[in-house]
Amino acid sequence: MSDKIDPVLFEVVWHRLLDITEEMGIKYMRTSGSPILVGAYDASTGITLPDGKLVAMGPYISTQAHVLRLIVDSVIKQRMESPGINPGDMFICNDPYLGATHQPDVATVAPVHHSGALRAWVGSSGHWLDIGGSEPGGFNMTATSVFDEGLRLPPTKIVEGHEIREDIVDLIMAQVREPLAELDLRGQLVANEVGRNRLLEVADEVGPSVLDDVMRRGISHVAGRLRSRLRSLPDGLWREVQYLDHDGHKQNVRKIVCTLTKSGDHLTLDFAGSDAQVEGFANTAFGGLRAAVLSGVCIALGYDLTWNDGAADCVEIKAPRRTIVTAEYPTPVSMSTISAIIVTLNLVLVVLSRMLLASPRHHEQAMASWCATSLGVSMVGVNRDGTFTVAPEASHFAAGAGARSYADGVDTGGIIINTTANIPSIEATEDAYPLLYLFRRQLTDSGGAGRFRGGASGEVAIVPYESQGPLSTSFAGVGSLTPNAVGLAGGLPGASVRYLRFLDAARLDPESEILGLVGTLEQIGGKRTVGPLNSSKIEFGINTVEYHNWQGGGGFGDALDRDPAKVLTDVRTGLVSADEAFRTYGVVLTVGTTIELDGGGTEEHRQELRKQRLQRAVPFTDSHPLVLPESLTAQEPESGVEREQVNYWNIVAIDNAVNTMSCMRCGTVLGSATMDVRHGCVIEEVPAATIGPIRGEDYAEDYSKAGGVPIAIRSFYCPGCGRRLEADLVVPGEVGPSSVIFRGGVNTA
Amino acid sequence: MSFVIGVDIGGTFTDVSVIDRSTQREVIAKSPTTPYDLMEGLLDGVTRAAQQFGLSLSELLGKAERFSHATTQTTNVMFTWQQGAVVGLLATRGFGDEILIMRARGRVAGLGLAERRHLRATDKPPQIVTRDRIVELAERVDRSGRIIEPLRREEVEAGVRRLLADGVTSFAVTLLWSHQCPSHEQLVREVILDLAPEAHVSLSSEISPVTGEYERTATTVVNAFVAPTLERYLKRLNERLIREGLRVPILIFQAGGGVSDIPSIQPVSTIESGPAGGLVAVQKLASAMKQERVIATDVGGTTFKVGLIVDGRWSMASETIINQYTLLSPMIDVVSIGAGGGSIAWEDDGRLRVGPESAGASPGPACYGWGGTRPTVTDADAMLGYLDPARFLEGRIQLRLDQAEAAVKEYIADPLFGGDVVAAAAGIRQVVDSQMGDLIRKATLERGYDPRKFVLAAYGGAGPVHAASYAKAAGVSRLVVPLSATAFSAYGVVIADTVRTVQRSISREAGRDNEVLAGSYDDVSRQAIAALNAQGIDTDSITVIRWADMRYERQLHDVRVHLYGDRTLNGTLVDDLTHAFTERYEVLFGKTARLKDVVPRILRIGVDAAASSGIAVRQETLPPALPQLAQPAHRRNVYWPETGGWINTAIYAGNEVSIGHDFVGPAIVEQLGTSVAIPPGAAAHVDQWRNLIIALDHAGEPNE
Repeated sequence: MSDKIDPVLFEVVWHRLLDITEEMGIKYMRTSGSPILVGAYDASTGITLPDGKLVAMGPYISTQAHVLRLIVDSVIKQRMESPGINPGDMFICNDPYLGATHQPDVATVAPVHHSGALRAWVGSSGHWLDIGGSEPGGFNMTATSVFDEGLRLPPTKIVEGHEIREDIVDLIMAQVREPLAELDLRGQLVANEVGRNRLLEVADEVGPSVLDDVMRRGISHVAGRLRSRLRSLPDGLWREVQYLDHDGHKQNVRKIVCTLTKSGDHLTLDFAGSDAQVEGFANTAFGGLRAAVLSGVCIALGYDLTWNDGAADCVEIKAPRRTIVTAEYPTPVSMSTISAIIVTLNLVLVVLSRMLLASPRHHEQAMASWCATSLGVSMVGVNRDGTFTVAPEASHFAAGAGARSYADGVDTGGIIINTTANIPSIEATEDAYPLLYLFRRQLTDSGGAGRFRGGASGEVAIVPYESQGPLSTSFAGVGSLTPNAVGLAGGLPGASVRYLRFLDAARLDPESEILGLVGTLEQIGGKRTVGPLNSSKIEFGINTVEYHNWQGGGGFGDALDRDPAKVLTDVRTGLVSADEAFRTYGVVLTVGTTIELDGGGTEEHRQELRKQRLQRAVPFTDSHPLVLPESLTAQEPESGVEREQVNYWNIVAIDNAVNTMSCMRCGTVLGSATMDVRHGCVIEEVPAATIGPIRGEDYAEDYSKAGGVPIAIRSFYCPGCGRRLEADLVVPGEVGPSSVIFRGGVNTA
Repeated sequence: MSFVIGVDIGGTFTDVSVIDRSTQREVIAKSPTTPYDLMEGLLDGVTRAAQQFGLSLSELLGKAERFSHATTQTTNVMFTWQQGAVVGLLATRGFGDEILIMRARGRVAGLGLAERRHLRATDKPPQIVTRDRIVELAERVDRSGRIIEPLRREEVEAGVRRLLADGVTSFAVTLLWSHQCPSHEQLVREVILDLAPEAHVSLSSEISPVTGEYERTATTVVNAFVAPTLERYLKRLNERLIREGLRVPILIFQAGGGVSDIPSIQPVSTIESGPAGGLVAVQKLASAMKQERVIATDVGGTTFKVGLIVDGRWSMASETIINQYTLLSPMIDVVSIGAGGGSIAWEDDGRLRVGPESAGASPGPACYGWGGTRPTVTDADAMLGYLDPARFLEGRIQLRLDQAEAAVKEYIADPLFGGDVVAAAAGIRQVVDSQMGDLIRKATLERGYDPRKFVLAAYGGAGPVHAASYAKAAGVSRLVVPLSATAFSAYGVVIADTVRTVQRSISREAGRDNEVLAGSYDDVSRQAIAALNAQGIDTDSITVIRWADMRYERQLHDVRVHLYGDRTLNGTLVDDLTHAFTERYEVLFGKTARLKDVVPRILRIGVDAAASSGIAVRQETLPPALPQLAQPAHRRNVYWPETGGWINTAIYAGNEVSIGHDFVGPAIVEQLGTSVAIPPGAAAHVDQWRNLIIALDHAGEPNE
């Protein structure tokens, strides 16, 4: 780190900058009124260098702050000449091809001029209640191009010399059906105004050159810390594959492929191999991909650092053009945040976690995938006072967190992209909208099975209540067929999304009769139908019960290694069913007036299950094994550098001296130290829908009938003892995840 | 002779403040807190205070006309998870998991941004009720309070029997919309008490009758968790104090800033009541001094707390987060960060960081010589001469400057300052002071105020040592340091008023109807007044302040507005509240945030009914003579960054300082357990309330 600036002065000014971004975030939240924004805190704020490089971000959703760099870049490129970038201006932009994630996420940035020069930018970005277009809320399920989606704003001057351009505000609001969206806009302007004023105070106090030094050093400090962390990890190659199971128009499984190369203090994430962009709105453009990758890197590696573009300095993102993660104009992208972006973010978390698992020093930081998709659910129609209403249903933000190498994932712990997850209370929702909830619960068997269980997700059932007119439901999302929240090191994925409709299931007329009030899914009567994903205008009749659940977190390690006492507790508290305890965890319980553990029976049953695995399994051949590039294999650690033991978590021991890799449970040698552990395993591939309940079974049959190949879980077992060492989510016959670790050792300094 | 006694049990010390009503003399005593039995430390402290009046414990108690008490009992239960009751929860069918889901906020609620970003290390807090102690009851009430599925007694009986068989002793009952229709919850209580007359029952419709089932449940469950422990303690304490001669009922201090007698307290509202004591004291002092705007700052060993007095009043937090549970019980709005005397300084790849890790009381700062080896803020204070190594805490602790210096050298000076330990120590102070200044700035600006227009009160162990520096960082130029600064919270407990807050949710429709609204205010006022009457307080001496929590439609953050005085109720209530809201909203968010043609909604209304303690802040008459310069007890070298060097500085003994004394900085006034730093360029005097008033910018006029 440069020593240009006194450490005390740096610390004093730096702390102030972090406070400014936080204060901007709080002002933004409090001013804007929309439940998406405030209830889900789908927003962020930031300070950038004059070229847009992110210095510090505020609270809430990190992907929202990571767009600021490209947005500022676009403003500079397109508006420097005309209409000019002057003191007191602000620019608004939500163009997904110019840096924004999708149209409802609008960014507003303000240049900060001091003593005659541009010194910095402040910005805020957040999800607006509505952005116009043919569907309320901005998700158009039928879109085939950006012209079917909401208002697209290229960089536009919305504040000129401290004066709000009310003509531009009116222009925007004239396209937007929800007048309260203006609060979203005003919130951003207030946040930027506050941020700019505070930053100018700092510049006045310490001088603009000290401010500049501090901002740059704040970035380089993060880059420096990240680089030294990377140096302490082994070099290698890791390939990860994830899926979008719906392109917006139909169920259709598409791949996102990422190959991570870690070399010295640098990461490259290459998305070559990802499927081409699709016609529907599930894609993301490059801005969203970049935000997803950087957010993943910050979570997995920058957990104790300020989140800024210091991370970007250590990461190179490569991607071919016009893939599902680099869609180009005019391909629609309006669902990106809840499809391609969040799936990619979890993919990055998983691939980096596998890297962390290669070093005993870093095991603790690894996490299985969190709930890997999100949803956009709303009920649209006539409220009890006769007015038009859009009721967002945001319970799915109480998603399952990924399991850890030492503990279960947090049950209903929140969605990974949001540092401050939040779901509305039932009573607040019932108060505002013509709905009555039958239940909202943690969902049994939703956490991915493993030695450490993935966090449980939840389920919710709703009935129209006191509506003065018809209601319809709009349900956007991916992840019903594919349980995207994959496990690590033999852990299984969490539950997938399920949307059910029960016709003629309830009658809630307080004046005459109340029928169909129930407390569980099993008790709901009527005709059960599977609801279509990515449909709007689904009739939500007064006698219909709508039900959905969302994804649980991925598990960690083989479920047969889970402490039986923990399984017993899970069964007693309803998080795991007795069936799954027996089938997946191998735990034998005696169920009477109380549920008790049969310790001996469990041991026997688990042995039997391991034996059966080996009987079913076949040898593995990888048609596309990863090979370390010359640049990695050529490097030998400096002589005298102490070599650190490199294991795969605590399940595979790697002995470089004799060049072997072996199972830590039974000692069986799996192969040479320089190959993918999977190559030494025997495998079993089963349809994902069969590994447990709510793993896509409600969608698999129709998908097969339509000619799709059902997604599968490819389990890798130790041929000696049958322990599950990996469980990959794959399309049968296709290349799955793999890894090669450079065993030369790492610098322990 | 008659006395009023206040006891504040804190984590480390039990502070006692006793005032002789006839002479207005106040004494303070500090006694180590005795966690195994809090009563011991309390009795020891009160005995020590009695001795200062030449009385025995029994003599003092016999002459007490008021005994008020802030206890850390419930806070301890919440932060250690020990001694809490075995709680069972009865909830509406379908919603038993709400307390476990915690609106998904529970994983990070109350955590700082840096902690929230370490996702892997975040967890929900321990469960007060585990899932197997939650019983769901088939019943349903809708938003209007209409019963759409009646609750059957047999169902309740079965559920309660199950919980009793499981060892539950304290029941929390939270049914959906029970605040609109409490009859189902009341039936549940009836059944519980039929089956288990000794059981403790907390009903959400009584504990927190407001919309939002998670917060209402959390508040009720926490109440159920801490209540039996507190009640046992208070029963023992009451019996003991009566035996020792106390003839008045014990009053319990609550986090909302008021006291209440034992039968009418809600245990949940005593959690984290300590910080409120200081705010009450500051508020009383501010109104005596006619200071409308005061920033109250309290620096302890591990945390720095900030509260505001505006227009002579503190404000209440709309929600409070205790150990990641979100509670809706009245609590004074106090914000804090992990920065204090024990905060550890560390090098972070070329950066000088301070905190949030704290050496706490164990191992403590390196200079305590208790085994701490890492440098803390207190070590920097000692090295730079702000603390007297020989006389710290009346000489009870000998500060080891050599150990402080060794720690600062190894961890900070060598890696960052080329071995210069003085620059390193000064750097540590400046970093922590600027963080405190930032919190003050943030706390005031976020609430719509300009810190430069406030005076700043500093108390707590490390407050006065740093106040001049953090005040300057926040742009405040005038300080008030009470001479009883180290037991200031106990003083607040002594003089606190008796307060009863009653609130209720208001439906969308009712919020637009003046008559209904007026009727609701009448109801809650009647309830609040009746609660005070039950404590023997005349209606005549009760002041009722009405308030409302409001927001624009769809916003999820409330703004609380007050109707002070006798603003008319007839037909203009909605207008008055709307007007008050609009004004406050603009202060908070600026004019740009205001929406045309959008009417704010009233969510909750409430009243704070208060009866004055009748204890005036002690005021003395300034001596007629001209102010006299105080005489220093001795001098020592102190490092003042303001002048960039060591100055042989005058040191004054706090107990020799009296009204009318003037000081010119640099100077140090030493007190029990702390020192007041008066930097070069500042001037100070002791006012008629025995505060040290420090004007930082000696040349300029102090801000009003």
